[in-house]
Amino acid sequence: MSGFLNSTLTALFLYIVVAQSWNLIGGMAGYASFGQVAFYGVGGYAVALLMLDASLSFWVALPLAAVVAGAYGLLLGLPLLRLRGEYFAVATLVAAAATQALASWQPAFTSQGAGLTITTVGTRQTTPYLGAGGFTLLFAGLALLSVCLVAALTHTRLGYALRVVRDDERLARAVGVRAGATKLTAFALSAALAGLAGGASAFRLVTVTPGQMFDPTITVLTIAMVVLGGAGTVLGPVVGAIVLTALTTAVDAVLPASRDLVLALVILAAVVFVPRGIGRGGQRVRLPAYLRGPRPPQHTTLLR
Amino acid sequence: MRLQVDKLTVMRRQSAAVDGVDMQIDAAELVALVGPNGAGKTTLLRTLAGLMSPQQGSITLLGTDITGLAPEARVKRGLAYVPEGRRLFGALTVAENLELGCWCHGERDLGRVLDLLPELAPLLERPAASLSTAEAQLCAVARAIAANPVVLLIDEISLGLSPAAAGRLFSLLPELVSTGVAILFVEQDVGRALSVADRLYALDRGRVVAAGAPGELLVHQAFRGFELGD
Repeated sequence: MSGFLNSTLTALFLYIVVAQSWNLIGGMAGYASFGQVAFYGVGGYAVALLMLDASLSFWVALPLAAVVAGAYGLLLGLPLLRLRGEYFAVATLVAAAATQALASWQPAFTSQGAGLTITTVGTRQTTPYLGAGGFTLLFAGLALLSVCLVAALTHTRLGYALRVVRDDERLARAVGVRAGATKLTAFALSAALAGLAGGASAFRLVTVTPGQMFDPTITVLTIAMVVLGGAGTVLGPVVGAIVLTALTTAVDAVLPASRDLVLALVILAAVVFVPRGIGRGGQRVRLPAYLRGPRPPQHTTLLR
Repeated sequence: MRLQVDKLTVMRRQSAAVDGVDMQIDAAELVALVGPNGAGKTTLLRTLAGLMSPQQGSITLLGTDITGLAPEARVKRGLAYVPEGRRLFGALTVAENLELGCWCHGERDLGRVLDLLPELAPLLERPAASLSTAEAQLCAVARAIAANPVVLLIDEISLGLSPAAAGRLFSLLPELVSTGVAILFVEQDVGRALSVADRLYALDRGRVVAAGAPGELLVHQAFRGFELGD
């Protein structure tokens, strides 16, 4: 397989994992998080530190990174999930920025600005570097895992609870659904999945810096993929990831300087024209009011 | 005493929507809450269900103070609520809506509910959004019954229903009460409430202005006033 194809497929599979992680909280629970990259970064740093300081194998560090990111999700979710709508979105954005600032401020994380470099050669290496093909396979496996997780979740009590909490949280509570625990579990699972993607990325990148691991573009692209493909559906994030990865690859080849502009236009068009995704089967994502524009006609699913 | 409400006060927009209400409901008792629009009936029921917080007073269920409990915790303790306007999850099927009611006690058997409301059996696989108003109200009441409540709160039980559909619901209430459930329901039609309830509370501007059995209330001056639309 050519290097170009390998890197494109790796990026696609990586985005499927992150998009599915956002789908859990933004699509299934209806809480549009703008701080998903915080968990991606925490997972990345967890893998780097566990491999460097604890000399753990990557295969042990990766699941541990998911646990660390999930625990961080629980910690952040406790106060943040009391907020809704734009308050929740802004709070998650701030939480991601604060997490990045914390990582940048810690000398142990930044190595005086040089970043952390995972040892991949010599006697101190804990796991041989996987190489381009190996990473493509790893991310393909993680993408499959994330799709299976979301698919399985929709048929569980948690998935069922997420649907009703998203539709009407107060009513869900009034009929006995533990909305708080439901949202927190989804947020922690979502964080763990993002942490898994970040952890695998850290090993692939070898050198991790706060700027790379907490890049807000990752969150923006992820949300765009889920909205475009269909939020709250199993395959929507996969479709969105394929479309946007293909688009970014094409724009990079033709108009590399206009990449961000083209992406921004596509995201705006997706939010305005296909708010339920390309297949129109997804849920309207509760984006902040300033991104939503005028209130669209209500497609209420409730009998009032 | 199944449900006891003491000096309950709920403020809305700087004024008391519920003002020092005292109320007691015993097991197997069918109690109606009547009053003009804006009397505070829905606010009182929403507060009992935990959807609104009182500024003063207490709510006791089976001897335990539940005033500070979350709505879902109240359901688990046996307080089920049918909100005004039915409010089903329209994207879910009727069966899924009913199963939601079963969650708090961990069973998924709808047999008990379908024994009481057999007309729901053919509708189980239909999306709740496709139900008629009467079917939706039956489904909303069935969802609350599925929670196996000791106290059932029903807001505006017959609102928007045809006389026949309302009659079916009112015939269900004594059946439920005979199983030991205590029911507090809000009804606009005072005549109908008088004909089915064991006791009534008449609410006006947030206060209980009259309370008692139908026979006692018919001679009560304050009650007669708004019964006749004064």
